[in-house]
Amino acid sequence: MELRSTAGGYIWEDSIQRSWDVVQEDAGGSLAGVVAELVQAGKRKRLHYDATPLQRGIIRHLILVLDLSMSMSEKDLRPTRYQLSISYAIQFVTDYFEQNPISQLGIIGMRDGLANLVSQLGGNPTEHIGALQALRKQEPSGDPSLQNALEMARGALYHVPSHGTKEVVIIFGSLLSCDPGDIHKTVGTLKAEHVRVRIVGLAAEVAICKEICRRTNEGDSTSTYGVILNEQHFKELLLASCTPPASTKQKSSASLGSDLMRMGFPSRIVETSPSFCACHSRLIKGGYVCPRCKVKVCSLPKECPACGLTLILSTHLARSYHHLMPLRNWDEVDWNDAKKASSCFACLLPFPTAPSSAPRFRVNVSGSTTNVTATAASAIASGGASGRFRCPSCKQMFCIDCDLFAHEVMHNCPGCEAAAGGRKLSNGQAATEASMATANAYA
Amino acid sequence: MQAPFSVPALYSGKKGTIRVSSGRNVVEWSPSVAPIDSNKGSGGNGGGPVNGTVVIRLDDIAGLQASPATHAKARLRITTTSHTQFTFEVPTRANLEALKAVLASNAASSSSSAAQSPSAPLTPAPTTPGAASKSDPTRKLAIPTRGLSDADLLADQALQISFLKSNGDLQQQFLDAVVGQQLPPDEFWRTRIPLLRMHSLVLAQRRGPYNVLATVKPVTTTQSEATGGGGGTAQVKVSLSPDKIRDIFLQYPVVRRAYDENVPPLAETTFWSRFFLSKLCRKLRGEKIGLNDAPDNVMDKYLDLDEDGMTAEQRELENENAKIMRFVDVEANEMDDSQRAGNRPDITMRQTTHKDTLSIIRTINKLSQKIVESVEGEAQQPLEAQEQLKLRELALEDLEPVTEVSHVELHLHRSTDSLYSSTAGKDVDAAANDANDSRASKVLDSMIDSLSNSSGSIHELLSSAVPSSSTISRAQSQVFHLIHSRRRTEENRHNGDDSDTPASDAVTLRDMKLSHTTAIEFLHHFWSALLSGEPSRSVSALPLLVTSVEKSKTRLEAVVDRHVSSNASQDPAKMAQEKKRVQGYVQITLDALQSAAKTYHDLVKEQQAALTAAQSENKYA
Repeated sequence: MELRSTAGGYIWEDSIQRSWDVVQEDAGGSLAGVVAELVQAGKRKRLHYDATPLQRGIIRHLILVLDLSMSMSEKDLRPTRYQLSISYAIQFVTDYFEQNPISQLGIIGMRDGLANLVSQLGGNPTEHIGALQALRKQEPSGDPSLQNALEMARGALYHVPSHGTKEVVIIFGSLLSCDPGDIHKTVGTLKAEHVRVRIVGLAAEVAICKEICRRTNEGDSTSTYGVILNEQHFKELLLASCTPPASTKQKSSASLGSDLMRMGFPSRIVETSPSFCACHSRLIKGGYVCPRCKVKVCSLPKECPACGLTLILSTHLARSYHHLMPLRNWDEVDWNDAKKASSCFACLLPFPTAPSSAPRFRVNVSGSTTNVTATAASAIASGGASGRFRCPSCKQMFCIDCDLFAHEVMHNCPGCEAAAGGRKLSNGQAATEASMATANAYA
Repeated sequence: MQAPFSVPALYSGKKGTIRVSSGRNVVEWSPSVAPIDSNKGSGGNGGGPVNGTVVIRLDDIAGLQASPATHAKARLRITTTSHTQFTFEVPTRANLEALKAVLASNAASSSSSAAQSPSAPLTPAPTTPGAASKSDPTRKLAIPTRGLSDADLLADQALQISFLKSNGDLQQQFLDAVVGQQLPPDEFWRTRIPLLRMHSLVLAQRRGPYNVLATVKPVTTTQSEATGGGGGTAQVKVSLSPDKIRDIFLQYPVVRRAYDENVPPLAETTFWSRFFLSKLCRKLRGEKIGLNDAPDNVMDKYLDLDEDGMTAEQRELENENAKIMRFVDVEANEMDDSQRAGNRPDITMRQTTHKDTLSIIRTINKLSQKIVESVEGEAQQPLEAQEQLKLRELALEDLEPVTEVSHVELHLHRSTDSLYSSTAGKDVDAAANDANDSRASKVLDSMIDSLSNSSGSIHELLSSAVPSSSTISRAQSQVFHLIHSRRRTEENRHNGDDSDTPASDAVTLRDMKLSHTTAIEFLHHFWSALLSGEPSRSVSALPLLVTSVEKSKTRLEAVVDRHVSSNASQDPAKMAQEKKRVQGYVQITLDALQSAAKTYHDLVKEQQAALTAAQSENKYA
């Protein structure tokens, strides 16, 4: 541990760095420049993630547990912990279904020492969001009970077949759990049934939470239990659960082989007059007809209400696949290679030109070495190299915004896809082959 | 039956007699002098002191403890199953032994007789109502004993009934399908097992014990503006539910004692308002007692008792008998005493100062201990196991090595990479490169071939099909029409508006919706039975379900016909049109029903064909 600060004294002798001191007005009294820098720094931080393809369960069953007890009325998060948690939970539901369209979600609340069902395990985000919106009008009360909530979550996940994951994500604002029995027994049964629990703590680290996460995640509590530092961190911790959990060696060796599951790809129909849908018994124009039993459902993905077939679109599968084969990290390009491209391959915005010191660097390269280091240092200080990022497979260069967009939203490289088109192969085929490869790997 | 056994005994300092009556199955202590006011009852629990009388049911007795022979006073403490303790003092040690023996034998025989004949009428003690009420927070609580397996849930009729009662829509469906259309109830529930399981869990969960006094928060309100008077008077409002009062009595026997001894003269509301303002309440809450707290001649009497209602003397007696864990036994650890090395004793070990701080710490500690002990699985552990636990707690988990979790890495063959390799990659194997190139070109060639073989070249196709302006406008209107209708559908979906159907359809639609829901229900059961793969189920249930499916179809058609006949008009063409329009609502459902029935009949035909084939083979063989 480095206990010495830059000034020479101990770290704790330093003056406190407040976040508002970091932001300094420029000569014109404007904050725009500083803010832009902060934004850039944030983007760079998010860029690097682990791109190793791991086996993950992409058919997920997740129970979101919300703390609705008295401690959630604290105002340390604005407007209250309660309201903010619900807002983030709504965002979580949206993101979860966007990234895992063939997965299911249920919501449980902890209030007055009991667990209440907020919404049943299901695949329709609007239902969950509706239930969460209804919670907004209520007030937090009583004590939470982790045991009751975990028991109920266990019951809700009881019927999940072996190919689906069983997960529980808890937003826990209290420092206590008021349980009717021995919670360690409950944790034992959860472990036996392969339920994995993640917890986001809002107040302070609680020993039992750590214990629950450690035991249900094969000893790994560091990545599964986090206590928030601020609102932004809260969101990051919660949304981290959108990524499907990687299956561990122990689990996959226990269930050797893989099972196939049937899925239906229904065809869309267009109607001039309305007809009843099988899922809600409502009169609706258009919808999708199940290929096996021929009933009409109004939205996808859904389990067929008549024959129980999982009805999805192929795009849903494709969207789930990106977790299995994450897009590789792109390399930063230094000024030496920078002149190969003058604008971003994807958005065509011009790249920043090489700083004036760069030519000097080339001129003096044989003569003085001091200049070289000075230039390198300034390049790093000015935001690491040239603002260009290169895909390792297609070697095209992109700007930082396109990099973020490709990695966080598209999960595909525009350069690679374009190259496939350039080779007079349809994108479709490339994509199909890619997904076939993944399917094989997953199986 | 034994004759009642009686001994004179002191209970909480008052003279009286203790009687063991095995006929009534109770131990009873009554004071020698009857109390002045004896018409006020109480919601006492598990045999509380009522009218000065103590009644304990024999089968509620969980433990008997006598003071050791060396002790000056002969005392017997009875612990009940609800963790209340009664300490009686008898004149001689011989009396004590006799009382103990009688109680022990009676308790044993009553519990065994209760076990043998559970239907035997146990005369409940008239003064112990609600001894085992459901939400008793310090009772031993157990987590669901109901099974969660599918078979258990299907067999549990009480659960199903309670679930139906809690869910109106489901009840309607149940009435429709099971009562109305003879669907076997098992089939009905089989498709709803997860729902049933959740309901079972909702019913089974219980609240854990908690610190009651901390949840009761007095609210101070000032009433000055309303009355228009000068200085407003501060009012303290406390809301108490019967549940909370019961919980307070259970957690703090001293409050119950104060209540029992004072409520006849005091009104109930006065008692509680005085209690919440008293030093006693502050003490029990674990707050500091300040000098400014108003004295209360009634409540302050109990200030010296601890929360179990025992004096310091009685507590000492208990401590003498208690087994102390080696871990916290100061006397046993004499040689490791840090004070000998010159350290100051810990704050809790100092005699002189911080008397009130100490009592606060003790109160809170005792309460937490009590709550934890009331939770199942914590209290029953023997001392040795507890010591083991303590040792484990001492280990610093943060210093343990981090366990590495190994994940399963996927080895993807990125086919996309190798396809682009000629333009980009240098590190890709040349052979693989060639192979991919040839494969890609083969695919392309075959595609070009197929196109040119079927209908000439692509160029011909394109050039020959120059559309006329009318075709273009038709296509345009079609596209726009589609866009419009889709937008309208989306809007309807968002507004929750079902449709733009004429009002005359309202009754028909309601009937139709009901029949449609039931039809889907039957379809669901039909498919789940067909696809279940259980031969027993498909043989027994399927034919029945198919009839129901077919009936559903006729029912839907009947609704359509009824609509047409009620809106009868002279023009047969108009009638046909009307019928077509209404039937459109359920056409898809009708088709689905038709196809389900067809699937089944095809299957049966196939099986019969196979059967006859096998039989004919047998004949020849």
